[in-house]
Amino acid sequence: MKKILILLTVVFAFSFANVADAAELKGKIVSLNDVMAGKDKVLSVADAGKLYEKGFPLAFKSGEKVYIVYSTSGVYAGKRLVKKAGKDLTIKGKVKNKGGIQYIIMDSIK
Amino acid sequence: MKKLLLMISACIFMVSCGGGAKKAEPTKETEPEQEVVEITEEVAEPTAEVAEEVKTIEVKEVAKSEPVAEKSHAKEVKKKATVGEWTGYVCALQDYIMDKPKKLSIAEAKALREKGRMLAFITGDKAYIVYSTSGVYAGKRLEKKAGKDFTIKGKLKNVGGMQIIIADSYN
Repeated sequence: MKKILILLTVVFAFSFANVADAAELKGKIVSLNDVMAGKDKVLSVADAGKLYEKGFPLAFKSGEKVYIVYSTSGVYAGKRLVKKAGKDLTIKGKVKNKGGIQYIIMDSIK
Repeated sequence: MKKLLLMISACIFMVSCGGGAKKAEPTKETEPEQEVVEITEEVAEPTAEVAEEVKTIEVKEVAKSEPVAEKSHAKEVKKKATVGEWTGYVCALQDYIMDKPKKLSIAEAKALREKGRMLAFITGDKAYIVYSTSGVYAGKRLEKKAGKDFTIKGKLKNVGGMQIIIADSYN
C-alpha cells in the first residue's frame, strides 16, 4: 500500500511538472537581427521568407521576451513562422529555457 | 500513513504553486506616453572555459520609437553586457535542445545553415547564438569554424531572455 502511494505521488508530481511548462503566448514573428538592433519591426511574409532563405533566424516575440520556435519533432519551425509573419499570433506549446536559449516547443499556431 | 498523506499534499502544493499555464505579457505598442524602461539583466556565470578576465560594463542605448505608435517615444534602456572569452564548438541549435549536442563538421554546418537551421556555439553546458559586432547573425562565420574547438572574444548580452554573444574575434 505504501509503495503504491509513493509511486502515485511521484507520477502525480511528474505529470504536474509537465503541465507547468505549457503556455499560450501572444505575439508576432520578428527577425532576431532586428531584436538585436533594438528595432520592433513587423515582418511581412515576403521579408520573413527572404530572411529565412538567407539563413537569418526568425523568432517569436511575446511582450519583451523572444523565443526560438521548434516543432514537436524538435525541428526549427522557421518555415512555419514565415507563413504566419505579419500578423498577431497565438502559439500554444511548452516554453523552456535551456542553457540560455529560450524556446517554445510548438503544439499549435493561430 | 499520515506521513505519506502529508508528503502527497506537500508535493501537490509545491508543484501547483509553480504550475499553471503561462500567459503572454501584454505588448506596449500603443502606449502613448513617454516612458523610461530600465531593464536590469542577469550577468551570466562564467563557465570553466570562460576567460580569466571577465568584467561587467554598462551599455546605455536609446531604443527607437515603434513604427506603429503615432507618437514617438524614446525608451532609455539600461543594459549590462559581460565582456569575456568563451571556448567551445559549433553545434546545431536543435541538436542542443534535443539533448544531443554534437560537434559539427564544416560540411554538416554548411548543410544545416543552407536549410535555414540555426547554429549555436556550445561552451560547457550552455549554448549561445553568435552575432557580429555589426548586428548580423554570424552563422556563416560559425560554419567556417565548425569541426574544432575555438575561442570567441566578445560581449555577452541578454536579449529578450536569450544569451547572445556579440563576437569581436574568433581564434
